[in-house]
Amino acid sequence: MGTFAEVHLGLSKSEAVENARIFLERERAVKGAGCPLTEDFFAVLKLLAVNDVRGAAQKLYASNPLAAVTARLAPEFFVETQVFNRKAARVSLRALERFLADRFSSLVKPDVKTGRYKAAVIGSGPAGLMAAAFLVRQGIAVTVFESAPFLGGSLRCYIPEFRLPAVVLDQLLARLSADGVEFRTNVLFPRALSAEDLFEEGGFSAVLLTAGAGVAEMLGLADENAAGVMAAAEMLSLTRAMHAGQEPYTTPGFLGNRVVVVGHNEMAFDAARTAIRQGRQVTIVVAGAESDIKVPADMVREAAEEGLKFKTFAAPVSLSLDSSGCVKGLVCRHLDYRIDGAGRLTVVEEADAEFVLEAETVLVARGMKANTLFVSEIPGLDLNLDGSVWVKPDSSYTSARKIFAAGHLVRPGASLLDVLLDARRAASEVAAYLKG
Amino acid sequence: MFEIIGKQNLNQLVRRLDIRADLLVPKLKAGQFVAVMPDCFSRRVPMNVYEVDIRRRCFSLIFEERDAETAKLGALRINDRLFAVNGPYGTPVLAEKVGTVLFIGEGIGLASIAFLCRSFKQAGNKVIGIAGFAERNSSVLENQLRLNCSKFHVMYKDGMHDRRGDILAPFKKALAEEKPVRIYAHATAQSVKDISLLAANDKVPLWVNMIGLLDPRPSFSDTAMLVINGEPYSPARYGVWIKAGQMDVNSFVRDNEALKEYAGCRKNEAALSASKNVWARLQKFIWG
Repeated sequence: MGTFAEVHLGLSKSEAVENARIFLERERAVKGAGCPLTEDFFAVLKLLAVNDVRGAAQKLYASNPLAAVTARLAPEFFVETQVFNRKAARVSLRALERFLADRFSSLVKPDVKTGRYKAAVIGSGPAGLMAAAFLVRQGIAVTVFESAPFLGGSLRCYIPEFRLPAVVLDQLLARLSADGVEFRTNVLFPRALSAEDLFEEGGFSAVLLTAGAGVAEMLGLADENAAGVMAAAEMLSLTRAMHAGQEPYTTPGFLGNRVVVVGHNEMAFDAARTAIRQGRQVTIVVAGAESDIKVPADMVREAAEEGLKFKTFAAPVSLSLDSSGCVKGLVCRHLDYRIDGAGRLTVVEEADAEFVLEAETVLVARGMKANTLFVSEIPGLDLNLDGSVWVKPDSSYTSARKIFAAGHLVRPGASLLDVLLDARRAASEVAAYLKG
Repeated sequence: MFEIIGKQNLNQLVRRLDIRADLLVPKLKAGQFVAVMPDCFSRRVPMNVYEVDIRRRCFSLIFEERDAETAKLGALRINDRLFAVNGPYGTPVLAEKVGTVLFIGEGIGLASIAFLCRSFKQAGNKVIGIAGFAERNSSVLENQLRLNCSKFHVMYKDGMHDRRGDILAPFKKALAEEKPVRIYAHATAQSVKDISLLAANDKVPLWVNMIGLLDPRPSFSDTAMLVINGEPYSPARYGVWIKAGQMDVNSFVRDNEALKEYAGCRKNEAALSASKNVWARLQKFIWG
C-alpha cells in the first residue's frame, strides 16, 4: 500500500522451467485459444522446459517483441483448463511469457537489417512500437515520430507503474533502438511536420498512423469544466508521465482527499488504484452490480483489497460545486433492475432517489475516442462517424495515398491484443506496398 | 533543437526568449500557441507565441516569472536549450482585411495581442490598440504596439501621465468613435466580462484569449478537452482564441478564478518546496 511497485512478482528461472514442464504434461487436456500474438506458444514452452531459455526467448521475440507488455497487461490464455504446480499455485502462461520477455535484452541479439525504403510511424504507443518492430525486421528504415516529449504513448501515460514499470518500457524502447528503429520526440504530426514534408523532403515512402485513442469521453454534465473534474486518462497521464506531486518534479499534486471515479473499465480501476496509493479515499461509481463490471475479476479483487469502495447501482446526474466553483461532490441517482416489456432485465434510474457523493476530485473514465484531433487535417484522409480513421475493410489502407492506419486510431474500443495484431498486419501491408 | 538564441529582460519580472526551432517555426502562425517544458522535471506550460522570425528560424515567447516553470525559463541563458517545445497548437487567426480592428489587453496578455496586431496591420486594416498596466514599471511592449497601431491608448492604474484608470474608458470611447468590426481581448477575467458586455451591446464580434483556463491546470495535455456550451472543445486543435458568443463569459470568469484557486490549494506542498530546493540549487550552481 502506498507503493507503486509491481503487484505481481515474476518467476525465478527454476519456477519458470518447472511450470513449463507441468503445463506441457497437461498439454492434451488444455482447451481454449492461445495467445493470438504468439504463433506456437507450445514450442516456446518446450524449449523452456528443457532449460533452453535463450531459444525460448528468441522464439517468443520473433512473434511478439512486445511480450513484456502483453505479459503484464493482456488477459491470460488457455483459460479453459487450470493447471497447478506443486505449491497449488495456478501456472500462469503470462507469467512464463513475462519471465522470457524480461530477459530479451540479454538473450536476444539485435538483428539490424538495412534497406532502401523508409517508413514513418506516427505515435510511439503499443501499435506504433509493434509496427516499427516488424517493419525494421523486413529491412525497412523506420522512424517513429512522437508529439510528446517522451516515448511510449498510452503505455507511458495511462498504464500505472504498478502494472507496467517504466524500466520495462525503457528496456523495450532500447531494444527497438538496438534493432534499428529511430525515434523522434516533440514532433506534432501533421502540424510541425506534414505528410508532404515526410514524402518530399524526408524521403519517406509510406506513413503509418498509430496515434491511438487519447481523447477522453466526458459525461456531458453541466459545469464539467469545474476545477477538480478531469478525465481519468488525464489524471493517469499527469501522475505517470508528468510525475505530479513527486519530488523533484514540479507538476503539482492535484488530487483532493476524497476521489470519486465514474466508470468501471480498466482505466477507471487504474486511476482508482493510483489515487489509493497516494493516500486518497476512493469510491468508484458503478451503473449496476459489481458483477456487471467488465474488467478481469483479479483486478476488481485487488482493488477491493487495496481499499477501493464501490457504489453500485448509481448514475451521475450533476456536479455539486462550492462557492468558488471547485467541485465538492457528485450528485448521483440510484438505479435498480427492472424487467422491460420484452422481458429483459434492464437497469433504470429511480425517480426521486438522488444522493451526493462528497469529493474534491471527480475522475471520469467513460471511454476513449480515436485521437484524430490533428491527423484529421491530412488532406484526403476520411474519418468514420465516430471520429476514427476509415480504412478499407480488413486492411490498414486509408483513403489518403501512401498513408496507412492501425490500432486504436482505427478501432478505439479494441483490446490490447487486437491492437497489436492490427499493427503487425499493418506492418506487413506497408512492407508489401513498399516492396511492390 | 530549442536552443535559446536571444534573451531580453523587459522589466523586473517579464522576459523575452528567442528560441530556435527549425521544424516548428515555418509552421507557426499568429494566434497559435506552444507547450513548453524548461527541463525534464517541469510541467508542460501553454504559452502564446509573440513573434516568429523565419530568417533566424526562431520564435519568441514573452512571459512573466510567477511560478517554478516561468522562473526556470527566466533563468535560462543564451545557448541553453529547453527540454521540450511542442506545437503549433490552435487554429491560426486569419488576418484578413476587414476594416477597423480593436485590440485590448492587460499586462502580459499584450504579448499575444502584439502578434495579431502586426498581422492585421500588414493585411491593411486600421488597428486600434488599448493597453492597461498596473503601474508604469510593469509596462511592456508599449513601443512595439505603438508602431503597429494606427491609434494606441495606454492606461496605468497608478495614474502616470494623467492616464489613470483601467482600460474600459478608452474602450468605450473607441467603440463609439472608431466603430471596429472586430475586437480581440486578452485581459483579466473581470475585464473580459466587462468588455464582452460592452461589445455585445454594440453587436461587435469579440474574440477572447482563454489560455488562462489552461495555464492553472497541473500540466498541459494535447488531448485535454474543455466543455464550452455543453460541447467538448479541444484547445490544442482549435486554439485559445474563442469567440465570445461561443462561450458563456460568466462561466469562463468563474472557471478561471476557480482553477487558479484549485491550483493554489491543491498544490502539493512537498512538490512546491522541492521545486524551491531545486531552484535554489540551480541558482547556486549557475551563479556560485
